[in-house]
Amino acid sequence: MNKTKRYLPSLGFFVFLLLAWQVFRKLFDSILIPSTFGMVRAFFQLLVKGSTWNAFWISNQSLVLGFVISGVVGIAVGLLIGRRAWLERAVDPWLDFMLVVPMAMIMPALIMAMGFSLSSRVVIVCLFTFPVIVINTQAGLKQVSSELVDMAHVFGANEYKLWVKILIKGAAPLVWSGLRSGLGRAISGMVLSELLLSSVGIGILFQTFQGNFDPEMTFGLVALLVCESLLLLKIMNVVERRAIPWFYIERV
Amino acid sequence: MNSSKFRTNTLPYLASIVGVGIVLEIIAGIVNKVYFPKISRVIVRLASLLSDGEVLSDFGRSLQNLFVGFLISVVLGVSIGVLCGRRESVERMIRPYVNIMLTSPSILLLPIYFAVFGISRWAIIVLIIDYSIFFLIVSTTTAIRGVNKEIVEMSKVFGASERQQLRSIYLPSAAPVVFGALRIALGRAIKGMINGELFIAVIGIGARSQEFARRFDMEGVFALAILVVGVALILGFILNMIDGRVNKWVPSIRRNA
Amino acid sequence: MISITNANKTFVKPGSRKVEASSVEVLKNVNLEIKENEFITIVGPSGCGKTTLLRAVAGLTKLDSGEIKAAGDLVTGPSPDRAMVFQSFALMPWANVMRNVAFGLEIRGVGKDERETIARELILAVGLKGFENSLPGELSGGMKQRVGLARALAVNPKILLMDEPFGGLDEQTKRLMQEELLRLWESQKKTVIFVTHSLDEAILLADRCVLMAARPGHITEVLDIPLGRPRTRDAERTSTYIDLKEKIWDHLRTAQIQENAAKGA
Repeated sequence: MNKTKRYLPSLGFFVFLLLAWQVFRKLFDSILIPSTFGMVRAFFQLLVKGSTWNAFWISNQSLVLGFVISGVVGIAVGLLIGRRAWLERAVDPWLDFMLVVPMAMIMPALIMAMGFSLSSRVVIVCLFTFPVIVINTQAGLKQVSSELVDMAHVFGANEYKLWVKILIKGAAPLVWSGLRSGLGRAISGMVLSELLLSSVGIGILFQTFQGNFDPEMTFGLVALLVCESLLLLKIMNVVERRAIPWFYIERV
Repeated sequence: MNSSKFRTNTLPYLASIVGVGIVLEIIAGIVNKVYFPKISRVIVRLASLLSDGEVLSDFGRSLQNLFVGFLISVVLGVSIGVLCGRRESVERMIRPYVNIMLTSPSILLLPIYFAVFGISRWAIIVLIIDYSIFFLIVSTTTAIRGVNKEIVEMSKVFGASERQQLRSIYLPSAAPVVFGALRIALGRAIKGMINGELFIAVIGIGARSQEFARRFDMEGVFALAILVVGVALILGFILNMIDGRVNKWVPSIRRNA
Repeated sequence: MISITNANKTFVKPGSRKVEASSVEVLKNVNLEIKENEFITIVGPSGCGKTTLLRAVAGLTKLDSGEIKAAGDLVTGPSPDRAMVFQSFALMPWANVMRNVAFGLEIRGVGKDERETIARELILAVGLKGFENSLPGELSGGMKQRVGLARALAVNPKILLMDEPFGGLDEQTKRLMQEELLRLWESQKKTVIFVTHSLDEAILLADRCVLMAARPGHITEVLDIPLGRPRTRDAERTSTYIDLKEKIWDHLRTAQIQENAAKGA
C-alpha cells in the first residue's frame, strides 16, 4: 500500500478530532477552553521565545543529570546483584517499594531536606528512574542462557572474560529496555517536580500561564514538552538500534 | 519449605526489610529532623489515621473518582481495543494517537485538564482515564490479535457468525491477557489519581497529603503514602480474585508468567 | 458427492528488502471425484498441497481457479456440513468437554437439553464417558482428539474432513485411534477425506488413496484399496497391503527426495 494511502485514515481521524474539539467548545462555551487556532498560535509563539528555551535549559538539567546518574548507578547495581540470588532478594523489597510508592507524595520531604536546588530535583528524577533500570538489568542478567555460561566455562573463560564476552552482551537487550522505560519515568519525574514545586524554569512558566488563565499558552507548553519527550525517545531508539543491532535482525 | 530455599529466598527478603528498618529508625533518632520521621512513629500515625473520620472520607472521595475513571477506562478502552483487534482499518486510524499518548508521560497533560476543567473532580477523573485507557486499548488489541487462529477457523467451520465468533472465541480467549492488563492499568490509574490530587490539592488523599506537608507533618505524609500502597494492594488482590474466577481454565504456569 | 474440477492455487510470498518475492504453485490442475460414503486418504510429502486441497474443500482456502462441488452445491465458504477435525485439536481451552462437543449445535441454536443429549451420546461413542466436565487442559492428546471427533460428528455432517488428526499423537495412541475411527465409520458411514503423512494410515483406513507430489502440487495417482470392509488390523498382514505399502513408499520416496533437492538448491 503506498504511503499516502497508509496515512489517510489517521489523517481523517485527526480532522475528526479537530471537529470534535470545536463541538466540545461550543457545548461548554467557556473561555477556559482554548480554540484550535489559539493553541497552534501559542505553540509557535513559545517556540520562538528565548525565555522558553531558557526555561527548558534550566529544567532539563535535572532530567539529563538524573537520567545519566540513574543509568550508570542503576546498571552497576543491577549487574552486581544479578549474579547473587540472596543479594537480589535483599534488595527486592526496596525496589518494589520505590516502584509502588507514589513518589510525588514524598517529594515535600525531599525538599525540606535539600531545598529547591538542582540537587534535590536531580534526586527526584533519580528516585523515579533508578528502580526500573535496576530491575530490568537484573532481569537481563538472569535470562542469559545458562547453556551459554556453561559453554564459556568449557572453553576456559574466567570470571572477567565471562562478564565481558557473554553476560554483558546477553543482558544488553533488557538493559536497553530498562533505559527506555527509565527515560519515560525520568521525564515524568522532571515534569512532576516542575508542576508540584514550580520553583524554576518550566514550572514557573506553568504557574504564570495558569495565573493568567491562559489555557492556550498552557497547551502550547505541554505540546512542546510532548515533542521533547517524543524526540528524546526517538533518539534513544536510534542509539539502541546502533548498540545492539544483532537483536533486531529482520527475520527473512 | 526446605531450609536452603528459605535461606536464599525468604530470609534475605525479610532480613533486609527488618535490618534496614532498624537502621533507618536509629538514623531518624540521631538526625532528628522533621523530614526524617521514625518508622515506629509513622506506623503509630498510620493506625490513628485509619480511625480518623476525615481521612476516611478523603479516601472515600478518592476511591469514588478512581472508580468512575477506571470504569470508564475499562469499558471504553477494552471496547476500542476489541474493535481495533478485529478491524485493522480502525487500528490504523487511531494508532499514531494512541502511541503518542502512551509513549509520552501521561503527567504532561495534567495542566491542560486543569486549565479546561478547573478545580473539579473531572480534571482528576480525566487524568485517571488518560493514565489507564491507552494502555488498555493496546493490550486488548494485542490480546485479540493473539487469539489462536485455528480455533477461530474451527468456529467458522461450525457455522459461527461474526458475533458468535466474538462472544464464543475471541473474548474468552483474550480474557486472561486482558485481566493481566487490567491489573497494570489499575496501578496506573491509582498513580494518576494521586498525581492529580496532589496538584489540584482540593479533595481526596492527595490534598490531605499536601496539607500535612504544609504543616510540616511528615509523619502524616509517610503514613498516608503507606496507606495508598495498602489500598493499591487490596484493590489488586480483589482484581486477582475476579481474574481467578473468570479465567478458571488458565493453567497456573501461564498465570505466573 | 464431492467433485474437484481444475483446482489451482498459488501462494505468493511477498518480498522484503533482502529477499525477492516468490510464488509457489501449491495446487495445479487438480481433479478428483469422490463418491458418497467413500473413505479417501490423501498422502504425499510436505508441500504437495494435500492440506491446501483439504482446506479448499472445507471452504477455508479460496482457489485461484477451478471449482469444488460438495453434495451438489458449490463450495464458497466453511460450513458444518463439511465438518473438520484439526491436527492440533482446536479445542476451546476454557470450556469443558461437554461444551466443546456441543459447540456446533450451540452455534446452530439447538436448545441446551437437546444438544447435551446429543453430545452425551457422542462422548459415550468416542469412549470419553465420565469426562464430560473435564477441561481440555486435563486431557491427554488422544482424548483431546476424541473430543474433536465427537464435536465433528455431533453436527451430523455429510462430509468429514480430517487434517492429519493423529499426527500429534504417540504411536500407541495413534493405532488405537485408527481402530476407533474405523469402528465409528462402520457404524455411521460418511464421506471422509483424511490427509496423512503416514503410509499405514493411508492404506488401512481408505477405500481409495490419493498420492500427491509437489512443485507444482498435483495428484500423481489414485490407488484402489481392495482390502474389504469391515476393515481390521489383520489387513496389515495381507500381501495386498504389503504391495500397496511398497508402491506408496516408492512414490513418496521419489517425491520427498525431489522436494529436498529443490529446497536445497
